[in-house]
Amino acid sequence: MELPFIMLGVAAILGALIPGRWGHRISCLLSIVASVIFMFLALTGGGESFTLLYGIAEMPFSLDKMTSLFMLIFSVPYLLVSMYTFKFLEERNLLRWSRMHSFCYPVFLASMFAILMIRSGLWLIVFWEIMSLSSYFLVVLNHESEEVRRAGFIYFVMSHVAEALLIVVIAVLAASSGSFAYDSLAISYSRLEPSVALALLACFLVAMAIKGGVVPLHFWLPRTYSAAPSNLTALMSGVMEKVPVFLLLYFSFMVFGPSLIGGLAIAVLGIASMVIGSLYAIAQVSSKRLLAYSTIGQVGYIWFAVGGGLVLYSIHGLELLAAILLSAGIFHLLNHALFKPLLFMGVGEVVVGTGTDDLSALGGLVREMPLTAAAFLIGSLSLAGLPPFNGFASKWSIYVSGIGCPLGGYVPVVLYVGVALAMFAGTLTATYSIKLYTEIFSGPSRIEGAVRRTSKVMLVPELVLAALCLVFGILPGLAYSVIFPVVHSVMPLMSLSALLGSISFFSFLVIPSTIPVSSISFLALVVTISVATAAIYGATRPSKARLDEIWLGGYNHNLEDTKLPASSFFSGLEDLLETLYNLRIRIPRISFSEPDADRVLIRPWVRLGEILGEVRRIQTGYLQFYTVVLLLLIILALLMGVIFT
Amino acid sequence: MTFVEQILSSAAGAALAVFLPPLYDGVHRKIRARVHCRRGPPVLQTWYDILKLMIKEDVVPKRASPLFLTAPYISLGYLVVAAVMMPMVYLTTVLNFTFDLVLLLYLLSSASVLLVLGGMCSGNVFSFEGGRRELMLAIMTEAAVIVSLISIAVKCGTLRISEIYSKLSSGFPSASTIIAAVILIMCAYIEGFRLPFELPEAEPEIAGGTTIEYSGRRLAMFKLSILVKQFLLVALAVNVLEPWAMLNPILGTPFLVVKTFVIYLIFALSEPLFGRYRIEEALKALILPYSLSALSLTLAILGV
Repeated sequence: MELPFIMLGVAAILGALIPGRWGHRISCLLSIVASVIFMFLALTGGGESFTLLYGIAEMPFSLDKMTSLFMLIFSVPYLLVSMYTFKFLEERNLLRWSRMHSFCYPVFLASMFAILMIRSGLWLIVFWEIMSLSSYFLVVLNHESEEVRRAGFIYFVMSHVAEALLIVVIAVLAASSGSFAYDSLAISYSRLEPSVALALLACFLVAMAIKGGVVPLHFWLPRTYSAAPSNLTALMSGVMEKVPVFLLLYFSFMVFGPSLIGGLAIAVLGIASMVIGSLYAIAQVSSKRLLAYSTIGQVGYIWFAVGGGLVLYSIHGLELLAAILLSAGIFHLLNHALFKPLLFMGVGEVVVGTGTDDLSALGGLVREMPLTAAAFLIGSLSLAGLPPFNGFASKWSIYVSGIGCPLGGYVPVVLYVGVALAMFAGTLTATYSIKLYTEIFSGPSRIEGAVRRTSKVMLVPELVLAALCLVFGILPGLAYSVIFPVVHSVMPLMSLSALLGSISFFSFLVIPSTIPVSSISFLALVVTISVATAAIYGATRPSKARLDEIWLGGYNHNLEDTKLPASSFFSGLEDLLETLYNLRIRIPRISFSEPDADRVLIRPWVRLGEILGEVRRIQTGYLQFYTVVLLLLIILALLMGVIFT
Repeated sequence: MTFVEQILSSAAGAALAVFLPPLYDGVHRKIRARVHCRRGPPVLQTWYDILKLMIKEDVVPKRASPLFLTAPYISLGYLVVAAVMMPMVYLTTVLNFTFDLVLLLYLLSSASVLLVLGGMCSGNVFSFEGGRRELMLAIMTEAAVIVSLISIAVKCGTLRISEIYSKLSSGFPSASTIIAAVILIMCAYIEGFRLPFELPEAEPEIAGGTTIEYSGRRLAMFKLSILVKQFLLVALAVNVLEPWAMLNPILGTPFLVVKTFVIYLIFALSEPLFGRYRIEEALKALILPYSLSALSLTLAILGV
């Protein structure tokens, strides 16, 4: 069980010791092997617990069903992104800092798996810190530019604010029970006064919302993503943003107990996130930033489904619907872990090839990178939620189970409005996916110089992910047959057979209790669509087409001059929604920056740091001075001891 | 017996969905010409156009990607599946999916998405311009369509189209469903790119927009897709307003023709009243259906 962790440790040490290409390669290869082992463990592991002892440190690990599922979901992007990284650093000219990268990358991987498996609050905080620090050093890998350092600083502060809140939660719970194990944390939570319990729940939610990049605490995310190298953003978006979702699920069921109010809060945060994230995404002119906002939107879907599931679970008689909504959320999480790394890797390859992520300059790359374009197209159609790709399968499940709740009270109203907004966000998602794909791969380009050929090693993971997107779109039952038992293990109120009975291998069917049983077979859908298309094509097959130049109104324009700036893409709509976008403060319009939240949320922490920094005046450097201070303190302590006893 | 009924119902629906829209478009052109005091083309002119395009030479830009070449066919494929699946003349159809309302919505919008993508992959700047306009219009209209469909679903308590119709036919139409149906018809008008929303093609301005590089059979498929999509939305809406004819397997077909004809008559008579909007005016005008749809959802949740 320790084997992959030891392997990642060796990878980190070797990577740090051996400079240049070889250290990097060794660390990547060991990461690949470690993620394969994690995958194997996730597939074979069945609920065993074990304790690792290192000296006095005692680490209780467990590999229950939920952990195995998330390990499985995480290990796929790990494996493929590590393959991609193998060549990416070299192609991106980042090998200068290969030692820092080779050390932090395996540590980053190991910390996230450790968070999944650990069952102790104390070690959770430790691993959370390791995750934050290692990812911070990876974000600022290219630290020569001022912008990267600034983005890295914001990321650093925000992850530690989240960690501070997490420490408060764990510390308060552990103080009353005297133990950090999750079980005893749960016992002490149940003994708390309701108001304190609510405050702790709020702290926990805020901590997770910060790390998950959920609106309104998302502002660090686009900056960080546009500064970080693409292999890291693929992992952050595909995996790291899911760690909070895992902790939300785990703590909701194992520590706090599912509650209506917590579920509602999660669902509302999710709704806000998917709408705001998608609205901002359509206005972006940089591919990385667009994908960053898109991540915020898609994480919103997951939060909405998880929150909605918790809400429905607290209503008697709707347990089955709750389980299905929650499973749909986990399925969307899985799908997002497939198509988002794919898109980020594609963008990274484009950056390697052309040196820019500016959508106004890019264009027409389908000729230079046909296979990347094909994989990217599948990724963006999955993101857009077109049938028969996987994004459709999971969004569809979220919609139908969200709206399956019968009328009565305010809960269904939240869910209905949520589903309506989710569908609206889905439309926005479809439009920005089209913008992203067409701006990069079709039309004229303003790229200066020739497009560099990129390594085939970077292409393979993208193609694998694209294939997986298609597989899970056509056979969602495959995913659900794994997800349902996990959800049943935390929601034991309904019967597993009822859940599993709703799947057959090739089709997927959902039976909310109020709606009669029937099925939608995705395979049948795919078959009918292809048959219809083929029939139309066969009946009206065009004769051999004549190739000709693009028609530009009869003028002899240079094609390159006709490229429109990406900022004009949705300009009419952006004007209409100006009030929404202008929530930000006094920043030039074209940059589409965020409300200047760092002034409100980060400045105070910096100020606090400065004030605390004044303390350093004590550090005079004279030994005599220190001795005097020490003596004074001892005298003070003795005096206090005398006075108080 | 039921299986035969299902097949007949689907076949009749799909046949109507493919053959009626060009005919209605011909009627539309005739009426518009009459309002302009012109004689106008024959009623079958749109069909003649499509048939003529079938025998024309295909010219394709050198830089076009495979998506450009296949998109009109895939799009029409999605729409045909939607037409077969959706009950239009009778309550049952061959393709019987549980939550077909959501599926229908996705099939329709996927068809539009593919058309836009195909047009934009031609590499022509005019089609880029047309495509981005169409996407902006789509964001607003799709939002209104989604919310009004959800309000119908909430009112009837189901996401199955056939159950929605049978529920509606058992009572009087309520305020929320009437508003929702009206919104659907408005959105169908906009999605058909009629004046004043004729922005994505805008012949005098951007020379055909998304369609500019298409020619021959692909252009025919492209135009047919737009017309079929509009028809499907109209059919969905008129059946919400008048679901009783669908209870009878024989009355359904003629009634559908009559109902949709009335709507298309209104479309034809309203188009000559307008000039083309600029994009921001069009988007501002689209706030109306969107806010109406919010009203209908509120009413539906209140049970009205």
